[in-house]
Amino acid sequence: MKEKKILNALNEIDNEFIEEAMPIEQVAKNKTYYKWLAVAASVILAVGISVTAYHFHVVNSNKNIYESNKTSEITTRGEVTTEKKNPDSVTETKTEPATEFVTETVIVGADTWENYSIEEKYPNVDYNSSNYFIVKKIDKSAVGKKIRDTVATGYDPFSNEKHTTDATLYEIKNTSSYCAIAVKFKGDENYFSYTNRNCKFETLGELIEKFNFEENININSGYYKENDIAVIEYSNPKKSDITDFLYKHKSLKPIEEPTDIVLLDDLTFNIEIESITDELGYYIGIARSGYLCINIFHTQHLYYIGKENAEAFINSFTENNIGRKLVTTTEKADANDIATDDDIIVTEAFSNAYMP
Amino acid sequence: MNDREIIDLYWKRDESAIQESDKKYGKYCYYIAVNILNNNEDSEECVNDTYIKAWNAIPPNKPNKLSVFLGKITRNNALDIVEKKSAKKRCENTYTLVIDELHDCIPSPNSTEKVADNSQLAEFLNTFLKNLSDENRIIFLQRYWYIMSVKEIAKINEFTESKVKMSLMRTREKLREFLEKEGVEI
Repeated sequence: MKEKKILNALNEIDNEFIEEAMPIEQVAKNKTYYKWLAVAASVILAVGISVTAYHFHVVNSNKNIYESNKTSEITTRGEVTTEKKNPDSVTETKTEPATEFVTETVIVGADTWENYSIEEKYPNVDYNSSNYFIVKKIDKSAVGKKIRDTVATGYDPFSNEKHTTDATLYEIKNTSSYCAIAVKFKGDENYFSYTNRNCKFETLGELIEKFNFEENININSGYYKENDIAVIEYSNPKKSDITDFLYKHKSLKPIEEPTDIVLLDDLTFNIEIESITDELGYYIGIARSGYLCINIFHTQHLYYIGKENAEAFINSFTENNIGRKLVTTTEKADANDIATDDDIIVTEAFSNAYMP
Repeated sequence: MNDREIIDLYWKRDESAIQESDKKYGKYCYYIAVNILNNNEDSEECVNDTYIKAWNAIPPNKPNKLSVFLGKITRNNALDIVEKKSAKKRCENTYTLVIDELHDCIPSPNSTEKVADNSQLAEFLNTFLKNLSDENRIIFLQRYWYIMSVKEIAKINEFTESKVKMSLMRTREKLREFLEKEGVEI
């Protein structure tokens, strides 16, 4: 694969470049400072007003991230920037301090094992000959019947020590334990969902059934890639439109990713599955070339539905649903040239929900 | 212990060279491995392999920068492991996102181009990297050498995530143009 050739060749570049890029984190010691908060998408509304919030970060010292650091108290003060079109249609920017102060504790670098969170201590557990990975804390109401007791193993990456603890495995209601389970650790009152990233399904229908799409899945948004810079965003698309489409192809078997083309989805739906998806984003993607991809638990399940079926669904969906266009550019001048008054201009950032 | 003293231990075939390497660079190597492998056990194994390879490589090597020497071995090991493990599944971790992104750097086919082997491609990459600004070069290598997430790169350098993404996109485009101009085929 050509991309891997570049990756491998990078290993032979000059040492000075590698050393120069060695990750060093900026850390403030014993001083109050302002923290830079990146805004994933800044939006200028069609009426010409945008509101973005920034926090400033003042650097006081360097510290290698591989060394053990303590927690730092950070007091941040916001700034609010507004953009407004004046009567001459010129955009005016005004920045003024926000009125709120927020103090938070930041853990920078390593700490002792006792202070690690469950997610840090036990990122995976073994069940049924598979390795399950932690997702998030879940409510007790989502937890089903007990499966069995077990012993969980964790590794401290900084001291290289192994740690074990007793734990109990439970089913998650309405979800096959093949896909996900709940875990409760001795001495901790919380339940955590863990997912099997190596799920394999004979057919698309089996995937739908084991994840219980009917009851568990939420489809939050859809994105249609119109061209290189414009994406149409659909809020809360009708779930049955998508699940009906999937059911139509339930007998399909999964395929390996083709090596001769790069798969790019034309229409994507961001999905959540109750109790078992995290903020990293799972999706259903359809490409006009005929491929259907369901990405859950960081694992891609790929099916070939045929170019005609893919085109038919994409065309039908985009024709029957109203969305808003997001035009991505770094220069406001470029955006003004490209976008119409009805478009939303996303400046200096990519659309937060769609990653081309 | 400084690097020269550690390297001396390797040359004397004193096994405390491994312990000293681990003490000084174990976390660095583990960091590189875990960014690629996303797994504690595999990363530990990868780092252990690094020391075995370092032991076999020194002597005759006498690296100027032990950190980078070990880092390169670890990175190579990790890429080999991920190659074997993820052949069937395309997981959405940083490594697979990085592979996807590097597609933008592939030069278009040209009948006059010459196929570059690994060393030749590395030389082209050196030339390309030399001509980048410090900032863009650091962002590029943190993403494609250290396989760091955009969020982490932004945090460590105090940039916005959008700045990092834009820098990466432009640098990938420039690399493709550079390789096409040099008539390189991968």
